[in-house]
Parts: sequence; C-alpha cells; structure tokens
Amino acid sequence: MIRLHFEKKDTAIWMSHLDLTRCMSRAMRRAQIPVWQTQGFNPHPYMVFSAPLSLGIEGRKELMDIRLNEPVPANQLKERINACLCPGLRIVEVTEGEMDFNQIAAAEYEIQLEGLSAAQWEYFWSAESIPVEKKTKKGTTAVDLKQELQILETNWKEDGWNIRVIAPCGNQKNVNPLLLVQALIENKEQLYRISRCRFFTKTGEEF
Amino acid sequence: MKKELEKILQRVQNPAWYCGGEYNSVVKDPSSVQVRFSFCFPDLYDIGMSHLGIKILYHILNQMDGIWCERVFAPAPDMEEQLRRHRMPLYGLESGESIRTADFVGFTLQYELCYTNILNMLDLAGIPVLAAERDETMPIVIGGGPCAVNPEPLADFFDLFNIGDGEYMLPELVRLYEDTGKNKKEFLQRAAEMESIYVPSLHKPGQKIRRRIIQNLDEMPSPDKFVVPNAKTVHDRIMLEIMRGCIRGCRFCQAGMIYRPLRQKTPQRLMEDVKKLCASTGYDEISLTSLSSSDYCHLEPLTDLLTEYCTPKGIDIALPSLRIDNFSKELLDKLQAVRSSGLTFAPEAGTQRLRDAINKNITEDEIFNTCSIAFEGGCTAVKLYFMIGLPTETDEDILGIADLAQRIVDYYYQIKPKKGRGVTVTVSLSTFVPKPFTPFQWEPQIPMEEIHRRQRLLREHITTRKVVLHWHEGKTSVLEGVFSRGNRQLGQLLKTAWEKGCKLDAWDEHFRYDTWMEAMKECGLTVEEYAGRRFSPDEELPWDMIDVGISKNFLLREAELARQSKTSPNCREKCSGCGITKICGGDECDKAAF
Repeated sequence: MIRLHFEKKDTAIWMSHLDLTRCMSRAMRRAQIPVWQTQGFNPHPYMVFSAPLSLGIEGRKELMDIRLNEPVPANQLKERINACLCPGLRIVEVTEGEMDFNQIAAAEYEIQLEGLSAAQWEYFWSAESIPVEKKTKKGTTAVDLKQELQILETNWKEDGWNIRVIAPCGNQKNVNPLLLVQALIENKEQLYRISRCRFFTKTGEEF
Repeated sequence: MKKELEKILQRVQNPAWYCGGEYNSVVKDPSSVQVRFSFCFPDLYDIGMSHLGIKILYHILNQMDGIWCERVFAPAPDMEEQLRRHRMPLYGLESGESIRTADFVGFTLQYELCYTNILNMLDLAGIPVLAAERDETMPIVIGGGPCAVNPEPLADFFDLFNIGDGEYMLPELVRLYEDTGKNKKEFLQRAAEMESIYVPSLHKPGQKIRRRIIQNLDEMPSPDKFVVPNAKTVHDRIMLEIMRGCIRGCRFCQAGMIYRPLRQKTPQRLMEDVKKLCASTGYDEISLTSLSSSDYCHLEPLTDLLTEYCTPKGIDIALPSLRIDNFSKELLDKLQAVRSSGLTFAPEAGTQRLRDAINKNITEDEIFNTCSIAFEGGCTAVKLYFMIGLPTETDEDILGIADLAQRIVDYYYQIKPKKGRGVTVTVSLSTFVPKPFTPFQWEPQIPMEEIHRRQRLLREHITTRKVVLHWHEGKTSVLEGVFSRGNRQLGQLLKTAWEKGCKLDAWDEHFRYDTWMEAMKECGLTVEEYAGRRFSPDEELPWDMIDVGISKNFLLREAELARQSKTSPNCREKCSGCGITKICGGDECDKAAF
C-alpha cells in the first residue's frame, strides 16, 4: 500500500470530497499511473482517502492510499502525479501506508478569523458549555463545543485571531471546526480560514 | 484569490462554479496579451461546462498568441445576490477580473430562454445592456450559435452577430480588431463588410448576411484539451463531434436545416483527437455527438477503432442520438460491451400519418424491430420522445402515442413471457415550437389551454404503470415560441421583463410566467401575434436578411408536402434541392460525404 500525503489549497478547497476522488482518479489516468483496479462489476481505480475534508477547509497534509500494479519509485510517482494535478492539489510526500485510516480519531485544525478581539474570544470560550446544532443526513444533533474541542493555542497572527484546535475526526465521531467559527461570528460576514494540519489516533499518536 | 471573493464563496451553494482553477484552464500573463476575450455562456456553470462549442472555441482562441480567452457563466441567484451586495463585478474565471475590461464579450446563443441571462450578466459587469449606450471604452458584445439565425430580438443589445461556424470566424474577428488598432468604431465598420457578420447598427436595407461554413471538418482545428471541471457537470466526459449537419430533414427541426450540409470527420482524424483528449483530460467516458449518429457513414469502423482503444483502458463509449431505422444488433452489442443504460429514441409523433407529415422517416415496423433487438439484448427500459402541437396534429395522433407505448409494453411480454424483470416505457413529451428556417416557420404554435388539453388527453389514455409519462408544463414553450420568431420589438420586452426580475427562465424554479405576461402587456405585445399566429408566405420575416443557405422555395415545398402528409427522401437517397449548394459550391453538396 502506498500512501500519498497531499495538500488541498487555494481554489481546490472548494472541491467536495466526491469531486476530489473524481479529480484524483482523472489525474492518475493523465499521469498514467498503473493504479490497481477493483475487480468488481464496476471496476474503478483503488483509492482510499482519510477522513473527508469539508467544503471550504484547506488541507495541509491529507492522505490517500493507492495500490499499484507495478512498482513506481516514490519520487517519480510524486513528480508524475503532480504534473497532472489541478491547481491547489499537490503531493508532498509518498510513504508506505502503515497505520489504518480507521484509527484516525482526531485532527488538528488552524483557524484564522479576521477582526476578532482577544476579549471577544475569552468571553466566548469562558462559557460553561457552548451548545451548537450539527446538521447530519438524519437531522440535527446537539454538540457541546466546549466538551468536544481541545484548544491548543490562540494568538494574534497577521491580521486575524489564530486558533489551533483539536477536534474529533474519523468514522466514529466528527466535529467540523466550522461549527466553532459559525458560533463565533454568528451571522456576520467575516472572513475565516480553516486548515486541517494533521491527524491523530485515539491514543494521541500522530499519523 | 481576492479576500472579497473568498468571503463570498464561503456563503454560496456551489463555490466550485465561481473559483476557476480547473485542470487545463488557461491562465496567461495579462501583460503578454493584447486582446482579452470573455466567452460567456448565459446559463449556470454545470450547463455551460457541458457544452462542446465553448470548449472548442476556448482552445482555438487561447492557442493564438496575444489573445486570452476566459470563461464566464451566469451566476445562480445566491451568487448574484452576493456579487451585487459586495459590488463585485462579474469576472472571468481565469483571471478573476471584471469582464467590463475585456475587449470582447462573446455570448453563445443556444436557447431563447437564456436571453434574460445575457442582460443580467452584462449588468452584473457594469456594462450598459443597450449597444447604443456603450461607448468606445466598453467591450464589443458579440453573439453566435444557433439562435443567431434570428438575431432580431437581441439586436438592441449586441454589437455584432456571426452567422455560422465560429472556428474560423472568431480568430478572424479578433485579428481584424487588432488590425484596426483596437478601434471599436472602425472594427465594426469593417466587420459589417464581412459576409457572415451582422452588425445591427450598420445594416443596410436589402443587405444579405450569408452563413459561413467549414467545408472540411478534418481540416478544422479541434482542441486537444478540454477544461476538466472540478465540480460535477451535466455532461462530464469527452465529447467527440463526429459530424455536423443532418441528412434527414425533419420538418420541425431547426438544427437539421441550419447546419446543412452534412459534413463528416474521418475515423482516422477522430481517433487522433480521442487519443489526445483521453491523455490530456483523464476522462473515462467518451460520447459521440452529432444530430443523428447512426447516419454517420463510418460508424462501424469508428466504433471498432474506439472499442479497440478504449476497452483496455476502461473507457466507456456512449452513443446518443441514434435513430430507430438503422440500428443494428452489432452496434448494440458493441455498446453493451462497454455498458449501456437503456435505449432512447425519438419517434416524435404517435401515428404514421403525422410522422410522415413531419418527415420523421421511421415506420412502425422499424420501431418494433428496434425494440425487439433491444429486448432480446436484455434491455428493459425504453425511452421515447414525442412532441405535441405539431402542425396537422389531431386527437387521434395524441392517442396514437399512448397506443404505441402500450403496444411496445405488450410486445415485450410477447418476446419475454413473464420471467425476469418487467419493462418500463418512458414517454417524454415536449411542445412544438415553430423555428426560423424550417418548413414549419410559418405555422402557429398551439395556445396554452390547448397544450394543457392535449397533455391531459394523453395522460387520461395511459392506463398502465409500465408506461411512465414525463411532460413539461408548456409555459416555457410558449415563451420560446414568442422569441424564436421574434422581431426587433422584442428587445423592449426582454429589457422590461429583465428589469422586472426575470432571469434563468429555462429553470422551472426561477421562471416567472406571470411577470413575462405583465411585461408583454406593458409593451403592448401579445403571445398571439408572435407564437400563435400563422405567418403568411408573402410577408417579410424578421430573419429574411439572413441567408443560412436554405431557400424559401424549398421550405415552402416542404410545408406543402407536410399538409399532404407526404415524406421527402433524405439527402442520401435523393437531393431535394434545399439550396445549400450555393454556399458549399458545386452542383451537389459534398458527394464524398455520402
């Protein structure tokens, strides 16, 4: 199993997860990478992605696993795919896929919020609980951000308030950091940027 | 990306439609280009990006030195609201810069119900919608495509129209513009002298505009790249144009007339294109496009070459636009080998009498033959397209649709008694719209109440659930009928309706029929005088200054044959003398094509 570590930035952040899988498989075809095809009724290139990234969130180190029919040297693989990716997507590293994506339990995000003051943040986060509604396919569920999120660091950076936060992520539980942003800015038209930086296992080991 | 735009994209439904950055999109250094061209598709991104014409012209223009062509689509209402609120002008997807600063703003005119979007897009860019109110500093607004054959309803808003194939014409126009030192006034004067160019403001009475065609499609520059959208679009695959024109001469069909003569590409040339496009796009599906693919002379050799190339690569081949009469078992097998999902055909009318009147040369036997091949091949879904309101149609013809569908269902159970899956026959119903340059251009469209009555009649006579009926309300067809045969007076109507908020009229959820009727009233116009009226063969038609190559006498002869329910042979059987030879030269249109 080969693990591709890639960035999803700039205009590519507006690509949905479904769009991403389609774009990647087209890029593999353009780069003529001998990706192993699934053998079912409807064969398609075998690609497995780590936890889907929500629309509008930047990915600094997203992961996808592929299987090849014949070996291709890692640096060649990286170069060939990168030459065929659309702007914003870029393979940064190729490794062996050791840990299973099922073990992903959390992710670290960096949030940048324009025009938020330290006092506003302090007041917001000092609340006992911060209940928000999370929309799922089945309806809405209540989430307490105070309980789910772990704030690593906050500081003033460039022209915005910078928050580093760890949120549940993976197939057991998922909390989108956008919920935090929405709770913070309410309905104001403020610019925000969210990046997913890395993944962790249940025991806090980095992926 | 500009911060302002980023903020906007965070608040709209489909941000991928508005951010560019697709693979194969062309970004040039603005300081290295002399002419900027904004290629506008007056509908939403997922429709526009499915259109082959824009892909072809985009790459032809961008292959030229010193020219940068960008794509622009109509924004959805949520995006429009954001743009207006943030006072951000409509921009090209490649540069993010306002199209107001472009040299050319070009619209492709595919459908009458997109006209309000043109006004809206100009307005969103801060460009006055009326050509007369645009000075030298404003972009030159040009139009082309099928609806340009009757440009009059749009004449107030455009600086010029090109009639005919654009592959050679657009680069010529751009070069002419450079030759004039980018002088709009001089450019328009000189363009008006070109034979296929219509400049409404400079048109002299009696001056004829002759459609320009490309004789040999093999020699035409075809793109080796398509922009590959990141978001899903309606047709997200390689579109391979195998030919232009059609030999059939169905009397309601505008495309079958205005794209004459038939011009085919060779399988060799097509395979070159396919290989380049597969390599540059990474698509895993190819669809062959033309008006009637089974009339392509080299279909067998082409599908052989295609399957040989595509099957090992896991690329699917789709073949829409098939006809019932020359559909073979071999062809079906080939398509099935690469997966196929049911069959779609267009008998257009329910009785042989009416099929003869509209010159849809298919017989009942042929319909059942095809169904038998399809059913034997394991197909359990058949989709049939019909039209109501065709000239000479009676209630008997409507009931014929229900009857035909029912008999196809019965036939399935005759061939495949009871075991396995059941059959579904889908009947898709549209409404006839008289179109310029067709034998039916003088015919009235049936009024709304009559559309509804005939739809009801058919609905009541479909008694089995194996037949599924899809129909369209009819209001959009009425408006299409108004604009299709419209004159310059409709400019006022278009502007009024747009000012009242009409846009995205092709979308049911945005179409505002009542507002349109209100606008008509204000302009002192009626549906009746445009759509509902029988035009007289003696009267001057708004599109008479355009010569698409088809003679009026031919159209009148065909109209008379229709009244007698008599068919005409197709171009391959016998020439009916439509007049196209005077455009393509010689006594007969390219014999080699047949």
